[in-house]
Amino acid sequence: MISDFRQALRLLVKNPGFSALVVAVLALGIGANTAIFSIVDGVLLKPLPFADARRLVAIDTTVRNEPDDTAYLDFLDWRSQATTIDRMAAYSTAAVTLTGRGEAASIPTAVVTADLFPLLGVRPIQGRVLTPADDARGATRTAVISETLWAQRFSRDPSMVGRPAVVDGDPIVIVGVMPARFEFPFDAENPPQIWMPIMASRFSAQWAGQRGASFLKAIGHLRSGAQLPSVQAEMSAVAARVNAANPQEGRSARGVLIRPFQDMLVRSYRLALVVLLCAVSAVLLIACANIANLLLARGTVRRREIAVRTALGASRGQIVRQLMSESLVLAAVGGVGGTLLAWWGVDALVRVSPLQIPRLHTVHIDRSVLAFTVLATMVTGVLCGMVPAIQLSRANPGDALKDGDRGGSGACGGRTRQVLVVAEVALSLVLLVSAGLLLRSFVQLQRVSPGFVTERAVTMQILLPQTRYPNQAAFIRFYRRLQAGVRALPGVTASAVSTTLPMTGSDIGMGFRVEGRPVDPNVRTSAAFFGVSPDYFRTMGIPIVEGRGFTERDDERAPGVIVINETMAARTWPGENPIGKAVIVSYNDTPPRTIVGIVADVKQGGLTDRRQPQMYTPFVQAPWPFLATVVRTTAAPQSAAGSLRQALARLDPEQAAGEIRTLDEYVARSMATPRFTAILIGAFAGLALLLAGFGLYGVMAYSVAQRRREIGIRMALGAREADVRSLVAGQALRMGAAGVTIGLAGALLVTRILDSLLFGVTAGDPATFAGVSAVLMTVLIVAAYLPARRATRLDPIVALRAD
Amino acid sequence: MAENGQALIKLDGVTKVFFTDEVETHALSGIHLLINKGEYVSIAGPSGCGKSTLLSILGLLDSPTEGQYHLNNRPVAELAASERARVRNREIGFIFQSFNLIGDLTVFENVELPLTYRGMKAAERRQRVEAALERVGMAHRAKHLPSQLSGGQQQRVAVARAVAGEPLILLADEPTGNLDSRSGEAVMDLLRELHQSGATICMVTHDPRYARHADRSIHVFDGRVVEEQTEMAVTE
Amino acid sequence: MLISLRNVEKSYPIGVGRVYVLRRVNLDIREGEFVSIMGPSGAGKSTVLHILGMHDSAWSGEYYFMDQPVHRLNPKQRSELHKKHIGFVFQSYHLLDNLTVYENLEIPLSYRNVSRKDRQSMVADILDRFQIVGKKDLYPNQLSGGQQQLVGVARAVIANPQVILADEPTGNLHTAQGKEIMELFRSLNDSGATIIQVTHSEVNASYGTRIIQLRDGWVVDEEAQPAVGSRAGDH
Repeated sequence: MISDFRQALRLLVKNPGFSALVVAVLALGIGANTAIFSIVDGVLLKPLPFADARRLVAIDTTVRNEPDDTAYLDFLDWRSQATTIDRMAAYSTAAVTLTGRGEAASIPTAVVTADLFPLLGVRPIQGRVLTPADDARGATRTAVISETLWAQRFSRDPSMVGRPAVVDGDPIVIVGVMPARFEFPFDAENPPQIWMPIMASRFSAQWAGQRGASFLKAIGHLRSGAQLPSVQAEMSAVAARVNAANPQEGRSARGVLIRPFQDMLVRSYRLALVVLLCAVSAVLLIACANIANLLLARGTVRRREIAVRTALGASRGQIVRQLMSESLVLAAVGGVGGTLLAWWGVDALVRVSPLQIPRLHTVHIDRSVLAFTVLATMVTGVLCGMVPAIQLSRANPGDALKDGDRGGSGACGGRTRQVLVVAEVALSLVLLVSAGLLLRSFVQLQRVSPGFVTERAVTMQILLPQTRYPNQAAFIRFYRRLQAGVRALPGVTASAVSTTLPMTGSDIGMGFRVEGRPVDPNVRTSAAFFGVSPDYFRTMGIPIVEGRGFTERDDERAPGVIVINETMAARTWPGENPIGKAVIVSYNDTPPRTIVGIVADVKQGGLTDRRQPQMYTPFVQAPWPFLATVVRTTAAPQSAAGSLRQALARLDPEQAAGEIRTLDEYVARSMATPRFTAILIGAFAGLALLLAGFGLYGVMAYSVAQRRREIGIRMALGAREADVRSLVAGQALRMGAAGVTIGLAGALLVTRILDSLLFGVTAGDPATFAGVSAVLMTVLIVAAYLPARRATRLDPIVALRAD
Repeated sequence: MAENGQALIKLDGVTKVFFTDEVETHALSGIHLLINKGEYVSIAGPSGCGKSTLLSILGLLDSPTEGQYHLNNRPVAELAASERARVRNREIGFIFQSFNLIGDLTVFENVELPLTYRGMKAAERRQRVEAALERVGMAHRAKHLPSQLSGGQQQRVAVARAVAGEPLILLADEPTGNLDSRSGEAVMDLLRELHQSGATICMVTHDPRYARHADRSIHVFDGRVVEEQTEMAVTE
Repeated sequence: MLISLRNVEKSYPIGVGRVYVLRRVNLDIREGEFVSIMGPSGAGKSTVLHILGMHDSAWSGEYYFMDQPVHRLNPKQRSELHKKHIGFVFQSYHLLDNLTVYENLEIPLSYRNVSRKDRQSMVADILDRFQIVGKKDLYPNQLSGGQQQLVGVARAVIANPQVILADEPTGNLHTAQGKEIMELFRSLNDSGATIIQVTHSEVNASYGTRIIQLRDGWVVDEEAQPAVGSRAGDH
């Protein structure tokens, strides 16, 4: 065995060009697989870093079968009634303003129930975690902070534990510090730094008393032995009981959904990652087919050697073992190279990945990834070596050994080689079609208008703490001063304020009903709701389609007015003119508002959003404690951000700025996942294209060498160069066409699973299929051209003498 | 078209030198040769004497390093590659030791091949191929693949292929070399029949029994013509 | 009897019929004989040798090797028998180009589960016997034809087979080198090995004790003395 490997190694050293090529292809293939697998493993497969992670479930309220947030009172009922779930916790995210030490800062925060900590099995590095006593209404406000915050704001001062800090203007006692690796809920961009009880936040404490206020997510820990279906059944029963006990409007449509927590966490990325893993394995398969082909070609030359070995007493098993050890050595060297490539590549890959993917920053090459690499390497070695080994060991030694009949019937494995190339071409086509579809989706996506103008627009989000801004009058006062302050900034050409901005990830949904129409309890009439300043539509570049926008006269004392978008107009008043009609918005029981205008639709969540009803009222007629300002500026985004921050500090030095970003950044972020998949799968498809072209070239070059005699005969019989060329090219094109045909059929089946990743293009898009086939055929023609040309350069006498 | 007795092939001082690893090998040195229309000439000599090289030059598969080669009164030295292909196709018929049929093509297609390269019409091709196969007694095997035939049968097909295009001369390189004695005799009989019906034949062989079939025997040794024996009373 | 062939035939299907390479070959070879198989090309000489060497298994008839019915053995048993008792010498040497002389000699032993230590001493021994110690680290392409065939013979005998089969062992050699190889065969035969060679050359045949003539697959003549036959092939 050892001597097999030694001889294999020597053979590789003796053919440095061949070996380097094979090793490079394998290193690339194995490296890419390792890198992608490390992400799949880190994000999808690795259990969450909590005790008993496999038993964690997400418990969501559903409204008409769509997962939604949960009300605190519902959560309390669930928790007290569930028996299959032994622990249950609720959480929500927010931002708070931390003042007192250094400048005011907006800190990402989670409000949680105290059960969360034992449920996740996490321990503090200082002090204690929250306890049920902290959850009680009226208890001393407490909080647990992150190690990062502890280090940044409190210089790791252990005496901070047990002392109060000022959060949103309220003193809150910091009772513990969580280790840096503790991350919950997962948010790569704004990881929570403070965890506090629901009652410690004035907002959530207020909502916690209303069964209609859905603002929490729930997580549970299954009782040991509990199976998901029985848990789901029990929780559905519990939810039905809770509904029956609270007969309120619309509750009948509510249910509950239990999902493994990790599944829920990664659901938006699972398909994309799995598709990428499939694509990259396909690339490796194509590489294997290529290398098997190369080995077969070389093996044909070695038929004599193998026959001699057989004649000297080698059994078939020993021959197979020797040939396999060669491909295993190749694969092993490739595997080492691939690991090195992946080591470097994973960082690069993580950098281009969408930030929102949970746990992405924890991705690295660890033992399980290396185990995968070793496995992939071994499988690669076997795949590359198996076909040649079986083919070559099958040959009858007698034929190859008879002197005089040397290399006569040397067409060993010719059919196998053609089958391999056809398979390669087919697989490449599937990959190319997938890439083509994803790239087209991405291009389509970029063409989609978000419904507003993104250029040179900088935004700042602000959350007003209730301690200093206790009521609507205070909100309005702040809003007026903010508008004035921002408008005066140098370089600002237009500015506006809105409660939420599109694509920032936040939105307010609000129920409404039409004045004078009966209410159908089974139809959910709600729309995205914005309180905006009068110049909002102009500043954002949202066209007013009909009627008017708002003016300064639409103030808090004026009659309520509302502007709706085209979708809402078309859905709620099909065939009617909604202007002049009145809508009752469920906002603090305010009186009906008259529709004064219709504006174009805006993509609120992301470019792939479907049409969605939207309604706007003047901010002053529906003030909220959170607001965002957007400015069009001639200044660079960086300096504009600085001046926004300064303007805010002049207004209220205690007030922290939230996120400051350009609208372009928000739009780009909403495209991060499609871009990521499109770029990667495009790269893989390119690699596959290259490999398939190379594979066909190899087979054709070899076939020309094999057919030297035939070509010689033909030339002796008077074949012209063109005849020989078309002979060779014809063979290549037949293989290419067979591969493309099989590939097209395969692609039709495979691309269906891509459906949910596609946008503006169907999975069976004929243009993509045709275009990709054309590209592939072109590459194949180029790959066949060189051997075909070489065939015509053959000297017939040399070819005939080779016999 | 040359009349019987007219010079079909004329070599003047043909020399072929191979250069390998700074060593010059003289495969042929100053060969003079005249083959008349209607003649049956055999070239004999030990292996490595240059007889195969000579045949390759005659067949325009190779070019001499020095000297003149006139085929049918035309110097072939200046012909372009495509023109040489045309000459091989129309004026020369090859018969090889190892038959050199193309394994993927049927008997019919093999014989048809040189005609295809002429751009001949399908109907005429069919007629010619059938006539040629009839002549060698292989018409009933037209649809078989070479691998389904014995060596002797394969060589008959190769002869049919060589004559189907009605070339000026047949060049045969050890046509019996890969055959058992009975099949060898049969192929030699076939060649004699062709000769009797007017074909010009030039055959390389090392078997003295077969060399005797020819009108004239040329012995080559170390790249030179050392001896000419005339079976019949035809002298230069 | 060391080797007995009874009605051994070999044929290929061709179209509807068959073409015969060997017809009803009967052959008996005693231990210690030095037999030459002769005949024109295509007569089936090499085929007989490869059947005797058990490289070829597509034939019919009976073959007894040391009283074992080879025709009834499965491939594994044949391979065992062949490994134990037969060494093969080829016309074109068939040394493995990527291995040194030493490694070439080691191959048959490595396929025979000889321990590493024993292998070393056996290779060292044969290198001495054939006086090629100085060549042991060279590759085949660094040797002359005669030296390569010397290694070829050494490789055939290293595992101490009773029977040596040689397919035109001097076919690619100069006369002087050929003579050396034939002398070697004679001395191997003197020390007890049974030798069967295929040859075109009466000179080589004269080293042997018996000649078997083949023509078109038939055994046509057995002579105890070398005699003038047709000299086919061009040397």
